[in-house]
Amino acid sequence: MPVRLPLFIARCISPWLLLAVLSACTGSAPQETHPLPAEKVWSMPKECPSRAQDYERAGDLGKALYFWEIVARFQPEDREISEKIRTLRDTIRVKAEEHYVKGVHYFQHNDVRRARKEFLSVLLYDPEHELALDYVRTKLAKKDYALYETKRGDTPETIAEEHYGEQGMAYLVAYLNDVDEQREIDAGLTLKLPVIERGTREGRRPTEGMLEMARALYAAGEYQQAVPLAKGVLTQDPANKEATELLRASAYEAGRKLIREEQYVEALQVFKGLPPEYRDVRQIVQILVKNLQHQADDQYKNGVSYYAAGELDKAIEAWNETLRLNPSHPQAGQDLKKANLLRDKLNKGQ
Amino acid sequence: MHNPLERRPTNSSSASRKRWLWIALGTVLSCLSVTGCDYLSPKPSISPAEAPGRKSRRFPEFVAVVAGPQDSLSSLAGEYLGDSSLAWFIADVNGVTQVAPGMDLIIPLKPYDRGGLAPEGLQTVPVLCYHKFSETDVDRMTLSRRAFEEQMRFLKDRGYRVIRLDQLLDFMEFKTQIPKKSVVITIDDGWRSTYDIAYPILKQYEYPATLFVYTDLIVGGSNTLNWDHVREMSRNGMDVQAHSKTHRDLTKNLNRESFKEYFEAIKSELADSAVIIQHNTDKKPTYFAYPYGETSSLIVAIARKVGYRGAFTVERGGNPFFTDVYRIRRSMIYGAFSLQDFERNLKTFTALSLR
Repeated sequence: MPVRLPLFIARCISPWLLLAVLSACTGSAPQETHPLPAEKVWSMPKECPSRAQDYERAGDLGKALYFWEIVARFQPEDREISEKIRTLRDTIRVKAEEHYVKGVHYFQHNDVRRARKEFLSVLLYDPEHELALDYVRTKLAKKDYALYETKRGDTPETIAEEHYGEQGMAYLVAYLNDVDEQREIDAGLTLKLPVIERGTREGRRPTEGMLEMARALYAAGEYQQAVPLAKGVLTQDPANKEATELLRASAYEAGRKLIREEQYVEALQVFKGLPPEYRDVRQIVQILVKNLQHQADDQYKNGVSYYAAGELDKAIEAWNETLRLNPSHPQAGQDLKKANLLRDKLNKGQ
Repeated sequence: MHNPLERRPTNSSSASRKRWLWIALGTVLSCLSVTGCDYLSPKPSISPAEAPGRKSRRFPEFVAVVAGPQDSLSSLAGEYLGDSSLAWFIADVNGVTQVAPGMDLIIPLKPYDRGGLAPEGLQTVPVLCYHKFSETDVDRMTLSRRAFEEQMRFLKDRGYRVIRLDQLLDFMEFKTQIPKKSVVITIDDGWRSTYDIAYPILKQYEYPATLFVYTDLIVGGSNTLNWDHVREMSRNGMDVQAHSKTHRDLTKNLNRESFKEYFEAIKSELADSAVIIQHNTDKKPTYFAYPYGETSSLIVAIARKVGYRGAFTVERGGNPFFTDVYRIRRSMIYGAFSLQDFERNLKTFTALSLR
């Protein structure tokens, strides 16, 4: 017997078994070298088992499993807990599959609401269920685009023609799918072509929000910001009296603000956009025009002085400013042209 | 009599069969021992002390920690989860509101409640939308200081937790879990009162919030922010995101605007506003709030292409995790709202039997 025993043992321990035992002994986690503090008896927070039981009672098996697995880490020798975990896993697998099959059935019958409910149930049991998640987040979601699989010979133009009825929308196809607008697209690609909604939307009147914003801006003294919004309302609703009044009032106040800031050219442009009979627009325009003409004349004379003194660059600058102040100044345009020609000749000569 | 020390002579096929039997037995036993490790706890690794006096024990799903004298939920969240604002997560798992020295705690390293699903329903996240504030005056879009303060205090007193947009999107992408009564605060446009009134109150309560600016408004007028204000708020916890350049209704062609001109204009509103904000704050916006809350499939497609992670409407209601991230709902809080009206917009759970 003592002679036979070593032989038996030697035969039992195959090399693979030996390797396996060694790997089990070493464990799968990286081995740390710090010893377990002898005085510390590791204990889990007392909350864990009761949380696990509460979730189990409530039917929230996925979360129950999470907490039982924590408990098992602290009590690895407890066979009851290991068995509970195994049973929970099996139940979860079965329940998740049941709900998944139902979900697919409802999806195939276009019952979005019921399908979603079933797939959410799958995820309640098994948050790792990727197929159920894909249904909930993608397949059941509203489609903003159509999928198009490219064929040989397709270009953004041909696709735009086929999908939108307009070849000219090739830029849209190209931009949204990162393809060259001018070139043929490789076959077999899946493009996303957004739905282009035409016509008016239901519900809230389209201009209501813009008008509200324009009012708020006017009340806040942000007249320049209110003007484009009021204009926007009028492009869609030209008969909107409030928008008309708001546009005029905003432009008027914006113009006055520009005058206070001595931006007379910009102010004139604003006031010229208003009906002359609105408030005192006519008088303001007359005053601004006269004022700018005086300023333009002064600048013109400066330009003449600079030119006579041979300071060509300064003369050009002054005459440019003349035309900015009064675009229809009778002499500045011609003199500026001559001065520019002269400067070019001089520069070439250098 | 056969000598036991001698190998019994056998024929070759019999010997070969026995040899394969031993190999098979060894293989089976190896497999059992390896899979057996699944049900047995792998030997835990002992973490080296992360902090003086720290004792911890690390598993793949969590770290078991004994709290030290200097520890708090926030400090532990910072140390182990990289984000001190995840203190609620540790509190939740352990069923505690604070830590004491010597307390055994679990620091979970993975979520256990993605999507906020429960047998009786699912979590929804309200996103609140404000515009203007005033010391006293109230109108549809303007809230008084007193009312705003009241609402922020209400959130605190009733156990709501204000989260960031990134946390909301992680939740909606089913990556993580968020506190049960999560709420998001957003403010639109760029009015001066955001800086004068809302920002100090938000700082007082340590609530994160998002400011959606439309860049043409940031001119530093008497009632509007300037970029210095925006930068200061951005550096101090306010998340600045995009709300277009001019605040035009993106769903409408302007008069005489061809479709291509309209398309280019929409691209510009979405892209240029992000560039301007990044230029001024050194932070690239990743979220967009549609002017007037209006959007379309085309605008969503462009927003996605420009690189926004999500976009917001003003459709009233909460958001379950599977809400379209380019049509996230927001509830506008009007100046005339009572506290009851406010509370009605804080629904964080929808009943639905998922058993």
